[in-house]
Amino acid sequence: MADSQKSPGIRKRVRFALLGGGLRVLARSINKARGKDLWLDRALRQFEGVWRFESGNRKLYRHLILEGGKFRVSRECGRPADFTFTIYSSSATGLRARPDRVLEVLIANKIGQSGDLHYLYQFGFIMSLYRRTTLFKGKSIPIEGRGQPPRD
Amino acid sequence: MAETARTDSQESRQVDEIFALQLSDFPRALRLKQEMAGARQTVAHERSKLLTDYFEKNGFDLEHPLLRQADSLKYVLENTNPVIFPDELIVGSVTEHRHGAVMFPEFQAAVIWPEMLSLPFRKHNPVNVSKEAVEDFSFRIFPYFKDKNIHQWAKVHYGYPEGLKVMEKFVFYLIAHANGVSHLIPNYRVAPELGFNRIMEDARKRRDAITGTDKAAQLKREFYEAVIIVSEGVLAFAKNYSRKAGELADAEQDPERKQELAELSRMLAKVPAEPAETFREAMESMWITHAAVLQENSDLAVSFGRMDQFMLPYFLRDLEKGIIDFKKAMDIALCLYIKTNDHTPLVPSAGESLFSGSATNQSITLSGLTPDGKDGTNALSYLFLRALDLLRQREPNVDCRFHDHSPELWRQKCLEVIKSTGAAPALYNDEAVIPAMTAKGQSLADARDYGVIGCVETSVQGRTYPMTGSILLNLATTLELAIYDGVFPLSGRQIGPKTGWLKEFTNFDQLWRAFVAQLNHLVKGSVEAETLYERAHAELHPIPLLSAVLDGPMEKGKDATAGGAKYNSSGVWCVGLADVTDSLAAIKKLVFDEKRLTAAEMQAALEADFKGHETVHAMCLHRGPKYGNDEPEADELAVRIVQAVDQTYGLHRNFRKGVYHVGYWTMTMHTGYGRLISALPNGRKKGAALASGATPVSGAARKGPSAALSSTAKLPAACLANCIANNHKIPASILNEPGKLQVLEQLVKGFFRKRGMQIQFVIADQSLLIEAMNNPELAKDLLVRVSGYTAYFGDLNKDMQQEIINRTEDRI
Repeated sequence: MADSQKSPGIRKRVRFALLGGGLRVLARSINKARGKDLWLDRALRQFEGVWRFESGNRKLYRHLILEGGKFRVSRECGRPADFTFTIYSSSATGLRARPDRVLEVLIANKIGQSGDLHYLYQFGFIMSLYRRTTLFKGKSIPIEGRGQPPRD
Repeated sequence: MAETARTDSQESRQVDEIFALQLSDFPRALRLKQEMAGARQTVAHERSKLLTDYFEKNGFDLEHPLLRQADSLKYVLENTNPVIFPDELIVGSVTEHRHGAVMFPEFQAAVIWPEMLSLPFRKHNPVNVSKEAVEDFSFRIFPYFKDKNIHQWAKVHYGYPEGLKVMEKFVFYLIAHANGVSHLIPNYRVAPELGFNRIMEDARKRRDAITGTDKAAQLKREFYEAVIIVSEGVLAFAKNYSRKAGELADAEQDPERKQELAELSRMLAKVPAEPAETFREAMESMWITHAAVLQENSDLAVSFGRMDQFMLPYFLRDLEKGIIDFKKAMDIALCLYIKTNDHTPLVPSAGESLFSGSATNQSITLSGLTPDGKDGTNALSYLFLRALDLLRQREPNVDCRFHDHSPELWRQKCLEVIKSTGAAPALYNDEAVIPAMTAKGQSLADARDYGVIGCVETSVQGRTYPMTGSILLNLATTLELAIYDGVFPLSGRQIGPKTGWLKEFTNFDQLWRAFVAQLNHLVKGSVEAETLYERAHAELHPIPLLSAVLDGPMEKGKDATAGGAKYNSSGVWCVGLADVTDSLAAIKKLVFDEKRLTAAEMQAALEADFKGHETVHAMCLHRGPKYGNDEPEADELAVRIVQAVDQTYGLHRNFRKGVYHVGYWTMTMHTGYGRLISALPNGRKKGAALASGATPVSGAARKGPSAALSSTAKLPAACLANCIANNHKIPASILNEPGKLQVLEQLVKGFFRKRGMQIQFVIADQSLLIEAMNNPELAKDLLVRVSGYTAYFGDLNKDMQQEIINRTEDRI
C-alpha cells in the first residue's frame, strides 16, 4: 500500500529535506544547551551513537551522529547506524513535538524501527535532558543544581 | 472441610466465626493498609546498584553463567539493607521503599529511561524517583547493561531474525521473556517444609555424587554449586532481617511492639534456614523466600499457589496446641496480603495504554480438588477468602476453584465476597481446567494440583516452568492480514505472506485458508522470537534460586531456564477472539452465504472505516451472527478458531522442549491493541476496543447472560490450557435485590455444569462507573476486574475505563 519501491516524489523529498534541516537545528540547539545543564553536558561527553532517519523505501535518509562530545547531522555515515527510524507517514512528525515519547510513536506503528533499543532509550533520555533546558520543558526533575526532586 | 473431617454444622460455625471478623478488629492491618495506600510508588535503586557494583568489581563471567548469576545474587541478598516498617508482622521488603518499582536493567528496565526525569510529574500513575537514582541509572547502570540485557543479547548473538523484527512492531505479538522470568508458581512449600539448610545439604550431596568430568557433568556440578551459593544468600538476607528486628526491638519503647520485634528476630534467625513449626513461621518463611526470589526474577505474576493447602498443617497444629485462633491467623494473613502490595511494575507512559492499572498479579489459589481427587476446601480457604473481603485490595489476586462436589457454603461465600468487593475472587471450574491440563500431557494428580498465575492462567503449582504470559498473539491483526493480502493497514507494510485480498475471494474457504496462513506465519514468528529469548535466558540469566524452589531442577541437575522443571510449557494469550469470530461470521453469512453484499463492497467499507458505507455498517452490526447468543453459526466459528490456534502452536515446541498452552485473556490489551486496528467486518470501527478475553463483544450478546455463558462454555477445554478470562458485569443495584445472589449462583452453577472454564465479575452500577471516571477520589479505591487482573478503576486509562462502562450488563 504505502510502501512504494518507486523513486520518492518531490513532496517526499522536500519533506525529508525539511527533516534534515530540522535535525541540524536540533543538533545545534542541543550542543548549545549543554551549557545550561551539567547532565546534558555529561551525556554528550559520555555517550555516542548514530541514529538514522530514513524514508519508507529507504532511498532518503539522514544520520544524526553523536561523537566527540557533540551532535552533527550528515547524509552519509562511515559506520552502520545504531538505531534506525523508518518514517512511513507524515503523522510520525509527532516525534518532533515530544521526542522523549518515541515509544508511543513506535507502538502506533507510525514509524518503523530497527537496531539496538539501548540507543533508542538513550536518545530519548538525551532529548528529555535537552527539553528541560527549553521553554517547552514541562514538569521534570529540576536541572542539576537548581532544586531537589521529590522524595518518598 | 474434608481435611479436618468436621461435621457440616461445625464447618458452618467456623465459617460464621471467620466471616464475623471485621477490619475494625485489626487496627494494625488498618494502619498498614492506609500507609501502603498513601505511599507513592518509587523507583527502586538498591538492587540495580548492588548488581552493577558486583559486576564492575568482579567482571561479567561469560564462561560460567550459573556461578556468575549465583554469586551476584548472593552479593545483592547479603548487602541489601533490611527495611522493617512500623507495625509489620510479616517482613522482608522487595525494595528499599514501602511501595517500590523493582528495576531489572538486565531485562527491559531501560525502557523507562526517556521519561525518568518526568516520572514524578506524569498525569497518570506518577512515580517518585530520586535524583541520585536517575543519575546512577543513566550514567552507569543502563550503559553497563547495554549489551548484557536479554533483548539485545538475543538480537546480537542469534542473528536478528524476522520473528524478532515483527515483534518489535508491537502490534502482532509480544514476547514477555524480554521482561524477565515470571508467570509461574514456585514450590514455596519447600521453604517452610524443608528450609534452605536442607536444600543446601541436598545440593551438596548431589554435587559430590557427580563422578563424570565431561561438560554435562561439569554443568550439573555448577548448577548444584550455584544452588548452594544462592541458598547462602537467602540465609544472609533473612539473618540481616533478624539482626535489624533485634536492633529495633532493643530501641523500641512500646512493650508490645518490642516483644513482636524480638519474636521476629528469633523467627528470622530460624526460618527459612530451618523448617517452620508454626503458622506464622511458615507464612514468614514463604514471604521472605518470595522477596529473595524477586531479587533474581522480575515479579510479573510470580504467584503463591494453593496457600490454603500447604499452610493448613501449620495452622491445624497451632490450633491444636491452642497457640492460634482465627483472629490471630487473620491478623497474619492480612499482614501478608498488605505486604504483597509493596512492589508494582513500572510502566512507561506509552505502556499505560496497554497495561494500565496492573499490579504484579501475585495470585493465591483457594479450594478445589486435591491431588487424590478429594475436596480441598478447608478453614484456611475461608479465612484467606475473608481476608480478601476485609482488605479489598487489588493485590494479591485471589482465585477460587470449584468442582462438581464443592461445598454449597463455599460457593455461597465466594459469591458473597464477589458482591462485596465488586471484583474478586475469580472462579475456576476444575471439571474444565483439569482436562485441559491432562490434554497437554500432565498427570491427573498433578493437574488436580493446579494453581492460578497472574491474571487467570492455570498451571501445576511448583512443578512447572510455564511462562504463562510468554506470547501475546493479536488475532485481530491476523484477520487484518488475511483481508489485506498480508499488509498491515495501519502502516501499509507487508507483514504476512501474500494470501490475497478479501475482494478477490469467491468463497469463505479462501478467506479461512488466508486466515490460517497468516496465523501460521505469526505463530511461527512468535515461536522463533520466544525461542531466542529462552536461549538467551539459559545462557545469560539462569535462575538457580528459583530452580531450587521448583520440582525438577534439583533432580535433573539442570537450571529451570534450560528445561530443568518437571513441566516446561509456554503460555500464549490471544486478543480478539470474539471480534474475529463475529467478523468471519459476518463475511460468511452476508457475503458468501446470503450474498447481501459483495466481497469488494465489504472491503471498500472496511477501508473507508464504513464512512459512506452506512448500509453495509448496519448490516455488519445487526445482520451478522454474533458469538454470545448460543447460536451455532458464530459459536462454531469460535470453536474453529480456538482449535486452529491450538493446533498451530501444537506444531511447535519451545526451547525447553515443552508444549504451548493457549488461552484467551487480554489484561487491558484489548483496548490498547484496539486503538491500532482498522475497521472489522463485525461492524467495529477503527480504533474501538476489542472484546476482552473470551467474552462476547460488548452489546453483541443480546439473549442475556445464560446464552452468553452457553456460547463460552462451548469453547473446547482441551484447547484452552492457558485458561480464559470470561468477563461479566452485573449492576450492584440488581444484585442487591432479594434472591438475586441465588440467581447468580444458579447461573454460575449452570455454566460450570456445561464445563465452562472460568468466570469473573465487575459488580457495579453504570452510573457509579461513569461518576468515578470523573471523580478520582471515588475511582481510586473502586475495585474492578479488567480482563484478568483486579485493578483500581482510577488507575486505568480512559479507554479501559470506557470499555468497562460499555461492557454488556447482565440483568439477571
